[in-house]
Amino acid sequence: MGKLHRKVMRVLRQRFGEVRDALEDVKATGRVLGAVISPAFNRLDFDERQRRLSKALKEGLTPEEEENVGPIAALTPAEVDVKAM
Amino acid sequence: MALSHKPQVLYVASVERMAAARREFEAKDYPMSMYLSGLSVECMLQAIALRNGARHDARHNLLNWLSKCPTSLQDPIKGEIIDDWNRVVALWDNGIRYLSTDGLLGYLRDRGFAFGVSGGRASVIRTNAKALLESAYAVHLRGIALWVSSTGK
Repeated sequence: MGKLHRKVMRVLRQRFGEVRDALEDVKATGRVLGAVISPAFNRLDFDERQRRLSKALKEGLTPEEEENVGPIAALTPAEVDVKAM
Repeated sequence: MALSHKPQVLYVASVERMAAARREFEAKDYPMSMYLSGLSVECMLQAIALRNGARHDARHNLLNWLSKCPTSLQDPIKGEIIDDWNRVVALWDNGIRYLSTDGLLGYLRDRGFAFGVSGGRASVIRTNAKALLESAYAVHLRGIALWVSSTGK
C-alpha cells in the first residue's frame, strides 16, 4: 500500500469512522482510486455521499495529493456484501 | 487472441449493449435492462483498458477495469459524472442476469435501493432500472468521447 493510499484511508477513517478499504494503487500513474465502504453512507444519495467524501479529501490532503486521487465510489456495506448470485 | 478480448470488438459490443438496454427497458424487461446497462459500461472500460495496454482478466469488476484505463477517462468521471459512476458501481452486479423480476426486487431491497421509493414493487424495480440506465449511459458517453477522439473518427 502506497503512502497516498494510507493517507487517504487515515483521512476517511478520521471523518467517517468505520471504513473498509477497496482502493487500488495504480503503479503506472501513482494514482489511488477505487471504492470505500462505510455505514456512514447508509441512506445517503450518491450526490450527498460524494459531497461528503470530496469535502473530507479536500480538507485532509494537499492539492497535489488530491490531484492524484482518481474516482472513488462511496458504497454502503450492503451494496458490497449483497450479491446477485 | 479471443475475439471478445479485442478492443474494437468490445467497443462495438458496448454500443450494441447500450441500445439493447434501452429496448429492454421500453419492453419492461427490467432485469435484462439493468444487466445490459452495466454490461455496456464493462465492455467500454475493457475496450479502452485493453487498448491502453492492459491484460484481460475474467473478473467482472468495474472498479478494477477503470483503474486500468487512462487518466483521460478517469478524470472526467471523477470531475463531472462521479454520482453516475457511483450509482453504476453500487447497483450493477454481473449476476443480475440470473435474477427473476422477484429476485431482482429482493436484490434491490437487500442492497438498500427500495428505501425512499414510493409506489410498491413495480415502482422500486422501474425506478432503479431507469436510474441505472441513465447513469450507465452517462458513463458510456464518456467512453465513446474518449474512443472517438483517440481514434480520430
